[in-house]
Formats: sequence, structure tokens, C-alpha cells
Amino acid sequence: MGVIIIILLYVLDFTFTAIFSNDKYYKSSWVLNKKSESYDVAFLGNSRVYTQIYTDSLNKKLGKKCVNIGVDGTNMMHHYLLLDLFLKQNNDIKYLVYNIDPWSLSFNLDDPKRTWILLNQLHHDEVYQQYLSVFGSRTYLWRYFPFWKFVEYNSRLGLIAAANSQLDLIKQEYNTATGDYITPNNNIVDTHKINRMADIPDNFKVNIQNIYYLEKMIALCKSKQVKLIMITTPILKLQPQITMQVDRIAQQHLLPILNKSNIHYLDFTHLDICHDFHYFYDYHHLNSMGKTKYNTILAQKLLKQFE
Amino acid sequence: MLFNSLYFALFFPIVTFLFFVVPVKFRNYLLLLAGCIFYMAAIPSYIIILFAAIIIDYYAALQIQKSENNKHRKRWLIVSILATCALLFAFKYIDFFISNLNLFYSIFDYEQLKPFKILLPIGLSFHTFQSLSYVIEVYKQKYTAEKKLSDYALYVMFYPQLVAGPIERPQVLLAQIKQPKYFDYHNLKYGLTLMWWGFFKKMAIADHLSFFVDKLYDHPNAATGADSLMGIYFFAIQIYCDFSGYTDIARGAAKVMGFDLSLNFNKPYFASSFSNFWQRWHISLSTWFRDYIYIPLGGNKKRHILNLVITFLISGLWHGANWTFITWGAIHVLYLIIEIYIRKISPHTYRIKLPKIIKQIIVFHLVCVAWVFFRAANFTEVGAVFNSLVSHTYRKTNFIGNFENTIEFVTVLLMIVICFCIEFRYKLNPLFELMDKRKLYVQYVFSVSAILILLFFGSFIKPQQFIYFQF
Repeated sequence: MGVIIIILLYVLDFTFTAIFSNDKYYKSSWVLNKKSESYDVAFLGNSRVYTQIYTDSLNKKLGKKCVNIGVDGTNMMHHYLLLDLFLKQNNDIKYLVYNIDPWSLSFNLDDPKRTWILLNQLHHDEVYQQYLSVFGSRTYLWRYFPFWKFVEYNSRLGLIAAANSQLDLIKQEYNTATGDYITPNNNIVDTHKINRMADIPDNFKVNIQNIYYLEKMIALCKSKQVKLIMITTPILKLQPQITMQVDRIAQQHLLPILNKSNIHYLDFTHLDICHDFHYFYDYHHLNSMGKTKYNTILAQKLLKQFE
Repeated sequence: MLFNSLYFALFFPIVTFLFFVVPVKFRNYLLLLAGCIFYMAAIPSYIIILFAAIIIDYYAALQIQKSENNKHRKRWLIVSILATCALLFAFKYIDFFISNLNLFYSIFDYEQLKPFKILLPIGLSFHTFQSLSYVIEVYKQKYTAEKKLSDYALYVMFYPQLVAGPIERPQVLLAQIKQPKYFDYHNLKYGLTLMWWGFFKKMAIADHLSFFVDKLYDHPNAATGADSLMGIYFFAIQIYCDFSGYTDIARGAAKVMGFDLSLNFNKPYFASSFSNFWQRWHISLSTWFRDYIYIPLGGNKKRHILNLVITFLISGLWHGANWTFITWGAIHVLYLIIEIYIRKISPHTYRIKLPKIIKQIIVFHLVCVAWVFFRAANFTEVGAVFNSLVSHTYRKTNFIGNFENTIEFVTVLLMIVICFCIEFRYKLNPLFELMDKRKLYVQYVFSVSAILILLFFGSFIKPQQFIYFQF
């Protein structure tokens, strides 16, 4: 009985690894399946990049080939590893526009909700090493115990997700050509989510592990000769403490590192739209009206950087 | 230690293996040691409290047994009851008492008292009630006081039922502890399949449901009518699958070693009346209250309604030191009183005209309403949940939207249907009944399928505590 189960686990592990390596639903799989592509500008970050960057319109405005490799729910370890894997697949990028904000800097990297994103990439040494440093001995289970990672994260990497990946039952939410989030054509303002601004802690505590990955990202870009531009996408600033928090974090933690490495930083949290909730879906995501306006401003600012 | 943790996945086979390997005369000591390790996995120092309670009740029972003087016997019973109640009060109720006292003080502008914020020892209400039942049974001369301290300690600290029951009488558990146990393949098979069924209910249903229920109670103002309705139904199923799942795992783990623990649930949501519901839900606690509070107060012979009210209010308070729990008890006693009056006024209408299924639906829905008070942290939350039921849309949901939520939702609906169909069809141990007396290869197919179902649909990310552990 035990032997049957162990054999079965190995078979399932092999099958699920293959399925999720060629998955068409998750944005992270889409990014990692890109091979030998060449782009002028890549946009990287969490949902604030994935859902707010229109590379379709930026292509025209900038006259450059852009790609959105932002993935929702990701943290700075994921961003570093996504970029590393993306570049290792012989993809070439000239500029990397990377979003950073108080949320990215304060995330705990071992948040169980986000762990699954690169679990299927543990066979890559760099991914394995970083997971080991963040999650410790649990990583051994994921890498060496057959099928365990798919069991533990079966709500994301389980049977139903595998079936969906093969049968395409639920369509992906992004444009498979550009990587942009497909925004419903409306200007929804979720007042409940906007009101949840009150839930924002009084003082964001920057997690030192995130600074470590920021520095690794900078070093990786330098070694691959990718020009790095940091941005902070708009945040709704109805409450003064948010403005203070964002500015404090930029001044105390971000700018010293960026200045030291001579990296350009574009802060979009002072735009006029940041004081008008009609442009926002929730307090840190723009709705389609806000995104159109923001992408126009972003294109203008980036054009200046590229001159 | 949580049953659904990796620690237990190691603990259980090691303890079971050692139990059958060590000589018979040492087996109870081994189980006692296992109980200590199991209990100390939460807050190690609290084992002292448990030991203190064990020694007090052990000594009190011996004194009751020894004495022929009724006053003397009663005195020792009172000492034991007071010591147990003091323990419960100090760890469970003192902050509740202080907060209510502060309300009173605020009227007169007195200085407010500070709460102690003591962490509740895990399963305190369960093992104290089990100890009480032992002392009371000895007092009633229905059971002889145990002379061997280690056997009595094992009765209180038997790890499968230490933290959330079933609350066992000495006649059931202590008597079994005294008998030698030997390996039995049937017990192993029965126990493991029962444990699987418990894990299935806990990990494949209750833990997935908590995802939606927690969303409702964390943000009741954000819920649409559909969200609230779903959350209320889901909590009813969650608490059943969580608690009956725990009981099945406990009963299964005990059965593997040759112990039979009491049945704690008997399809409670198929009850056709409230009195019937309480004969099916948390049976070991209901019978405890019946035998040690309701009947001594007079039962249905004198002051019937008052006795019911007292019993249910205490039952509410037993569950938690909060007015919401007391209200939950009050709602249930109200249901029972209405039921009694309906039966008295119009027995024929009540018994004949309504088909059983309609009665079952009515009872289930009213039980669901009462669960809102049980789950909510305060009355504001209760108000918000009921408010969203009547004043918000049923056309959309804020809690199901993204891919993960949809997968959770589809999975859990599928599992609920499977669970209730199987429970309806099979009586005590569905997997065992399904496999029993079939060809060996069919048993293998069932066993492997059962393991795969748990691996595919169980919730493993972060083992969630059993709801009743907090009591």
C-alpha cells in the first residue's frame, strides 16, 4: 500500500510539474514561458503594475516595444526571481521600469498567500536558494517530497487549477500578447475598499529582507546591462497620513539606495489624480479612467528619461 | 497539538507503534506521557494547572469514597466543584466579569479595573467537566473512586479527547483504561477510516468554509445579502464539520488503540425538532448538562421551563465568556419553550400536518440564525450581518470573484454535497462501511482514493485550529 502511494505521488508530481510549467492561466507562467524575446521596455511589479500599465498604448506613445511582466500578489523576492528567470531564458530588455511602494517594502516575504507563485520553479538553483533563505526547512519538503507543494497549495496548484490549465475553463485575465490586465470598460469606484484606507497602519515598517532584494535587483540589472527606472504608481491620498507615510518611506529607505546606484526615480504619488477618488477602484489601484490618464503622464515622463 | 498538523502526523504513528510495542503494564504510562506532550505543545507551563486539578479531584473522590458520613462526603464534593469552578473562573471568566463590572462602575464614575488578559488553557472547559463528572459519579456511588493516580490522570489526559471531548464518564473511559489492550487489525482499520472521515470533514470542508465565513465576520458591512446568506449557511456547516470532524479523529485515534469513545454527533441537521436537535448535537455535553444540572434542578417534573432556561444559559456561558454565547443559549431555550407550548396547545397540528422534511428545514434554519450569535464577536457584528441580509443586494457577491475564491467555492460545494450524501447513506464510519467485506483490491482502491481526495481537496496551507479548542 505504502509503495503504491509513493509511486503514485511521484507520478502525480511529474504530471503536475509538467502541467503548471505550460500553464496558460497564471500570469507568472506567461512571463516564465517567454523565450528569446527582445523588448525595449519591461514593466515589473505587483498588481499596481500588472493592472495599471497599458503597454498597448505605451508602445505607440513611446515608439518602443513594451511588455508588462508585473504579476499580482507578488513580493520583492518574486520580482527579483522573475526578472532573473526571464533574463535567463535569453529574453533581452533595454529598460526595466520597476514599481516600488510602501506595500512592497513592508511585505513579509513568508506570507503563505504568496508562497505558491514560484513553487513550481524550485528546480532552478537561484529560486531554491532564495526560498530556502526565506522559508527555511519547509523548502526541503517542497523540493524533495514528491507532490507536497501541489498538496499544500492545492487551492492554487491543485486538481481544479490543473484541469483549468488544460481545459481553459476560466480564461486568463490578461492580454496574452502584451501581458496587460484586461480591464472591464468601466469606471468602478469601490467605496468600501476606498474606505478601507482607514485600515492602513499608522507606520509602515520596512522589512529589511525587501531592501536586500531591491539591492539584488539593482545588481542583476547592472550585470545584465539593463537600465533601471524606479516608479511609484499613484496612491489615493485622501488622508494626510498616507502622503506622509509614502514620502517618509521614499526619503528614508528608497532614495538613499537609488541615489547611491544613480537610478532614476519617478514618483507619481503627487499627481492631481491622487486627490480624486473618482480615478480609483480602491485606494491603491486606479480604475480604467484613472489608468488612461496615468499612462499618458507616464509616457511623457518616460520619454524624457529615454532622451 | 493540532490533529491537522504535521506534528500530529508524526506523533500519532509513533505513539500508536510504541503503545503496542511496550509491555502491557507500561502502556497506560506511555499514554499518560503522550497526553502530557500533546497538551504541552500549546502552552507547556499550563500542564501544572491540569496536574493541580487532577490531584484535587483525585483526592476529593477518595475522601468521598472513604467517608460514610454524608455531610463529610458532601463537603468534599463541594470542595471539588468549587476548585474546578475557581479554575474556570480564573482562566476563562474573570475578564468577562471585570468588563461587566466596569460597565457598572462607569455609571457611578468609579475607576475602571484592568483586565488580566490571561491566555485560556486549551480545552479547559472539557477536561474540567470530565473531572467533575468523575467526582459526581463517585459521590452518587455510581462509580468507585480510582486508587491509582496515574490511571485517573490518564482518564483526564487521554490525548485523543483531552482538548475537545467527547466528555467521557468514568464508567466509559476509566473502565476501559483499567482493561489491557492488544493489537487488533479490525480496530486499526476501523480507527484509521474513521480518522480519515474526520480529516475529510475538517480539512476538505470546514477549513475551506472558514475562508468565506471569516470574510463575512471580518467585514460584515462589506457583505451583500448573498454574501451574508452564504456566510450564515456556511458557518452552520463549518462548525458541524469542524467539531464532528474533530470527534471522528479523536474516536478513530482511540479506536486504533482499542478504546471506544462516545458518539458525539448523530446527523444533527436532520433533526425535526429542537429537543431532537439537542439529542444529536454535542451529545456528551448535552447529556452532561442533562444529568448534572437539568435533572438535579427538577427536570421536567417541577419548574420545567425555569430548569431549561438555567441549563441553557449555563450552556451558553460554558461555550464562551461573552454575552453573544449567553444569547445563543437563550435563543435555543426560547425555541424549546415555543416547541413545548406548540405541542401542548396543538399536538395534532404540530405532529401530523407538517411533513418531516418541512420540520427539518425549519429547525435547520432557526439553528442557523442562532449560530450568528455564536460566531459573531459582538452584537454590532450580529446587527451588521442581519442588516446586510435585509438591506443589500442578492444579485452580486463581494466575497467570490477571483480565481482562488472561485476554486475554493466550487471545491467546497462539491465536498459538502459528497459529505452530506454519504452521511445520509452511511451511519457511523462511512469509509469503513463502504470498504468492509469487499475484495482486497477494492479496499485498496478505496483507500488510495480516500488519501488522494484528502491531498487534492484538503486545506494544508496553514493548519486551522478547531473551533471548539477555544472553549
